[in-house]
Amino acid sequence: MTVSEEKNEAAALSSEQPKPMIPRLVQDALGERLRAMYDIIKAEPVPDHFWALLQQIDQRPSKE
Amino acid sequence: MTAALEPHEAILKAIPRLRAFAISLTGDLDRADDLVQDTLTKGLGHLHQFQPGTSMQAWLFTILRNQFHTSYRKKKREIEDPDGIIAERVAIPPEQAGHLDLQDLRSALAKLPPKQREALLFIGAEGMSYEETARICGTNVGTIKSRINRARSRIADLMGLDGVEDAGPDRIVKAALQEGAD
Repeated sequence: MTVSEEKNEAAALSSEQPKPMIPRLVQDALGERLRAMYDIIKAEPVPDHFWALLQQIDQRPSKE
Repeated sequence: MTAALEPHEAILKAIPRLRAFAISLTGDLDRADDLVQDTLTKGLGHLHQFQPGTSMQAWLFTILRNQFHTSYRKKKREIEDPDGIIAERVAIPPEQAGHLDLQDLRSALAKLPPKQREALLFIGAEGMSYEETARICGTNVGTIKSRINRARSRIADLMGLDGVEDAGPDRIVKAALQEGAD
């Protein structure tokens, strides 16, 4: 992000109505759900073509 | 720990988390796998730029989110998903999703601006620090904090999580105490 984009974002953030921090319990509930979602995705097998890609490159003679 | 791993081994170990992040970020399995594939290709091609002793996972996350935002700028309309339409055809098969909650979470995530979404994923799901998230996202801790606060409020609204805590008399106090706790 460029400096000016960042400034714009900061300006946009501060011009909006200030929101109170959401309570810890809500944060925890949200975190739990995010991690549950992640666990499901991470438990899925990695598609074969990723392994194939890495093996292919592994076998390529090093250019250095 | 990871520093001792051979680079290729470290890359292999990084894949499941890269995928989880990409799927959650894009809300689309095919797009996520393309993104991971591009990230791996790019990472392998620039492996000489990787600094030994640093986190391969973080390095690949950086490449992935940069690729994502580059394509996001290119195809802004396609990716903006205010109604969670893309999220409807997301990765996780319904039988695995189990809880209705997770379906809700995915469509709520899709409604966040991408930079808030990635901050929430790095901190809320990956458990990364603000500092590391800021480094990966190429910004500062203050910006990450703003993004994550806004992301949390919005998601809590969208999912009705506010009801998790009853509006008891000490709610305001708790909220106030919470301020700055991070």
